[in-house]
Amino acid sequence: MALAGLVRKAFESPATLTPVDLEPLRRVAGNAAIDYVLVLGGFHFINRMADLLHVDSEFVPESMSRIPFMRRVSVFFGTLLMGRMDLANRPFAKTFEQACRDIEPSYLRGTGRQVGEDLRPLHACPKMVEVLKLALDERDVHSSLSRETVARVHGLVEEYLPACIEQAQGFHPRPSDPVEAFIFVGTRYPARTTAEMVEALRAAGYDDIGILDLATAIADANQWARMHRLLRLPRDILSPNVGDRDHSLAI
Amino acid sequence: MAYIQTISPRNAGAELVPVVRYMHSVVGVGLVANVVRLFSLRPASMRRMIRTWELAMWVGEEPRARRELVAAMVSRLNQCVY
Repeated sequence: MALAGLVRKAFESPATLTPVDLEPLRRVAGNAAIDYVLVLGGFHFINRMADLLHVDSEFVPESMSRIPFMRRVSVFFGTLLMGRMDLANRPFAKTFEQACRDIEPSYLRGTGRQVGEDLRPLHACPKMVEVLKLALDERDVHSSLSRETVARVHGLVEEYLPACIEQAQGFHPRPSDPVEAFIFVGTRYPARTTAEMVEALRAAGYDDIGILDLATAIADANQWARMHRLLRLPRDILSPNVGDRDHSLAI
Repeated sequence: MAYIQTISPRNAGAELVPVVRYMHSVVGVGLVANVVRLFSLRPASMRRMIRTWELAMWVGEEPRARRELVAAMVSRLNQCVY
């Protein structure tokens, strides 16, 4: 129940999440609650990538996925594949202190300061430090987006982040700017992304890499919006130049 | 079909091949999931995606079934068919 309640709130009203929302899960799972925050955030990331850029199922083409029999075929082959995968748990080989030393250069480059006590909430789950390092390197080393564009993405994701279920599921006017529309839909309901929205990005000058990077920034910002609230982490680790906003003013 | 170009493992170039092998070593079968393939235009980003997925779903002591349950719940709420 604690896990289900957390997952539901992180979908319906992520803008209102606080560390208090993690307490029921901490009471039953201890520090493993942090692992579940990573899975929860990670699938908000993966779902957004899949829907913003339209990923087909490995087993059944989209045109046939509404046929119940074909969906069962898809589940059958998915189960077969999972049965062949190595699903055994693996250890994380580093201590928290080692992970903090590894992230230091990326952290300094990304935030302009040393790690200090910023990551203390992750002490019991050092693999989360590596997750943050990977996200910082993606943003600051690999992405083609400018720092200003990344800041704009994070700022708008914070503004559009649902504060109630009506904002997560209702119907709302979309921004006319194609980038803002992509961010708006990608934050509220990525499954409603259309090919026309992506074509509008191309018309605005984005190529395949630019669209990939924009989708990644939106997915990262949505994952981070949930994680930093639940784990009491400084928001500016991954969200550059994001000021405080009144979420109740969002559409 | 994805809205952006992707590169299949069959057509992987010199930079992408080691990342495809890394993916195979993580999952234990010759699979590159379509959502991972999205990142194939930039192998470094694809490697980040794979490692983050491994840290979330494999690394640690929590039961795999419970992690999959959380993943399924999130995907259901997001109405993500993939």
